[in-house]
Amino acid sequence: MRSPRHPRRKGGRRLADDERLLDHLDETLRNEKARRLLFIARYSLIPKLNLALLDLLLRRQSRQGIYLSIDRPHKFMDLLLRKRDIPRQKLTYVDLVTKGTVGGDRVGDVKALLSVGGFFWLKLMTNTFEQVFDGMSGNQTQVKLEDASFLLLDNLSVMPAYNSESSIREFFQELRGLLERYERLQVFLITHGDIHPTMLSILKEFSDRVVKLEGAMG
Amino acid sequence: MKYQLVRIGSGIPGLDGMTQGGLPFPSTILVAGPAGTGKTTLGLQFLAQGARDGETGLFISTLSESIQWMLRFTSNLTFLKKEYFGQQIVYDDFSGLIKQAKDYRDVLHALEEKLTTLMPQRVVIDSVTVFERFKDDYRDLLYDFSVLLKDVQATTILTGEVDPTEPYPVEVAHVVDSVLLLTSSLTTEGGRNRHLEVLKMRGTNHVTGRHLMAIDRNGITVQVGMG
Repeated sequence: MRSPRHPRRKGGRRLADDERLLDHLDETLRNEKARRLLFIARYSLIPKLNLALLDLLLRRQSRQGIYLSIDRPHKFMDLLLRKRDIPRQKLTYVDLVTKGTVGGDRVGDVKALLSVGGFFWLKLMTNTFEQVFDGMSGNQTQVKLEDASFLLLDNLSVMPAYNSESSIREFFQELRGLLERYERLQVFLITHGDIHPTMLSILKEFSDRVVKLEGAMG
Repeated sequence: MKYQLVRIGSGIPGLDGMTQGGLPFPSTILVAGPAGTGKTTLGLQFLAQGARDGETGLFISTLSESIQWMLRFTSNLTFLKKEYFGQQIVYDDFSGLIKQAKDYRDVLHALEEKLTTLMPQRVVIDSVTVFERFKDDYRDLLYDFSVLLKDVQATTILTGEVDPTEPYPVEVAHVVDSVLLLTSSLTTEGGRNRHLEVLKMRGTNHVTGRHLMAIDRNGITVQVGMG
């Protein structure tokens, strides 16, 4: 008999795979105290890992947080969440892929959407992350930075395509500062393992815990 | 510190050595050629490689071929195990939908539904030539399809029929990241030689020129350096 927390979805075998990944993450992260978690998975698993983590955090754990997309437009992730009935009311998107204006935007029924425009904005963002949140009007912001309990970055393996090593290091330095100022925030970083060794070491240095998804899970 | 493009095995012996180790992931690839040059076989080999690597593949036929017929015609191919279908490889026939659709967005939404449900790593659309029926919106269609396929984070092969006088469908070639040309030519003995050429592959220092290609029950093999 299926658990009520597993709503039936389309997809046959995929359903079992997706839920196995979700259960595995649930088990792995239960009572997790680390605030900076790095997930290393096979490249092909990254979209599903993103989705499973959001499913876990938003639905099973009823948390609120921020999804920072570096790899692909947030709209696609929003579509995936919507199709799976994963609640998105407690999620604010920060989209570094879709070009837009700094501040709030509204697409469909997603009220809190922050489109900050452009890959090269990453360096600038390290200094102004909080200001951008402050700049959003109260009605548009579903999740305020001080209320967020997680920050999920979708796929850090693409970072070196758009940023220098120094700006990436600066970004993580700023992120450390952000975590010091917002004590409830837990950061989830995702990458595949076939990245430049320097990038991998930057990510590992930043993280308190590295979770490698192997075998069928990764 | 350089960004390292992920490459996935094509499943075609000889081809990965021409493309710095595999096909870029994610990306869109046009495989163009006249009838009988091996486009569908190449697509199936690509999906079979994914199945062996633990990836999920989606094969979309636009040519009104049910899975039963496809399985019959491919039953002698050694690389394609029947148990892949419905498991690692999902097959869907879009021909009826394409015939009935008044607007290409109907097809786009059906594809989006399929992709967002399955979240495959490899996709084959065989072939895109039938989309020319939406000729007034053809460029928009190609652009929208290309954006969707990139967003889903898959490597996609689009096959395109051409007649022997047209090397490749130009409008499709503009929106994809890579173009592979499959051709055939008459031999002096009256037989046919088949060739593969990597015309374009973004982010890849690929081997150029036409290379001899064999097709048998083990699939396609590229004999690099043999023209």
